[in-house]
Amino acid sequence: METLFEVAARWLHVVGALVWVGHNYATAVTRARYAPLSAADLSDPDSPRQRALMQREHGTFRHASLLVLGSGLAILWQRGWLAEALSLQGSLAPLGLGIWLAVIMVCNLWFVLWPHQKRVLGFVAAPVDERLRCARITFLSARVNTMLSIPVLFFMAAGAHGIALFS
Amino acid sequence: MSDLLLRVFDSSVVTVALGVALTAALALLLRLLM
Repeated sequence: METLFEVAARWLHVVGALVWVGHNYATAVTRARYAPLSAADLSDPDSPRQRALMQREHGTFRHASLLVLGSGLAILWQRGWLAEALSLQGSLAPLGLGIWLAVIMVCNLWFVLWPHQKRVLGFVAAPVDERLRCARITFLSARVNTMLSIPVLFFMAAGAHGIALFS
Repeated sequence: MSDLLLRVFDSSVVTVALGVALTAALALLLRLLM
């Protein structure tokens, strides 16, 4: 039963990470350079930029981030490694560092990116100037997560397969 | 000033380069501390 739990949690962890980080990377590739929105983009609901924004996925990847964090912590808890990893002890320190960076990413996504994105999309009423300001913050928040994902993936892999690097 | 600094994120390539540099710095720090 424990093996089944770990396999399922690990599978959810990997699939969730692909959905979450994959969404972020897809945006980084399709929008390699920052292209600011204009007031016309936001004031006309039928403008191409507005329609593109509304058609983009906004929910699945956010919830995938919680699945990734939750399943990762559950695996460590089941093994009795959670406290050691979070306190950066011994051979679990690389993994623990990756976890803390991932926690920053999840907080950035839910507490910085999403509240501002809701204003950009018009889910929360705001004047056009405010929506344009929020669009810039949303972009920067996503790029910070792109940057942080690189060490997170490194330390996740190093935690599982690269102990020799840090011993 | 901070706005100028944040413009480094306007490019995906620079963002990835910053991520790689951060990875190297943290890995080196961790290795020195362990």
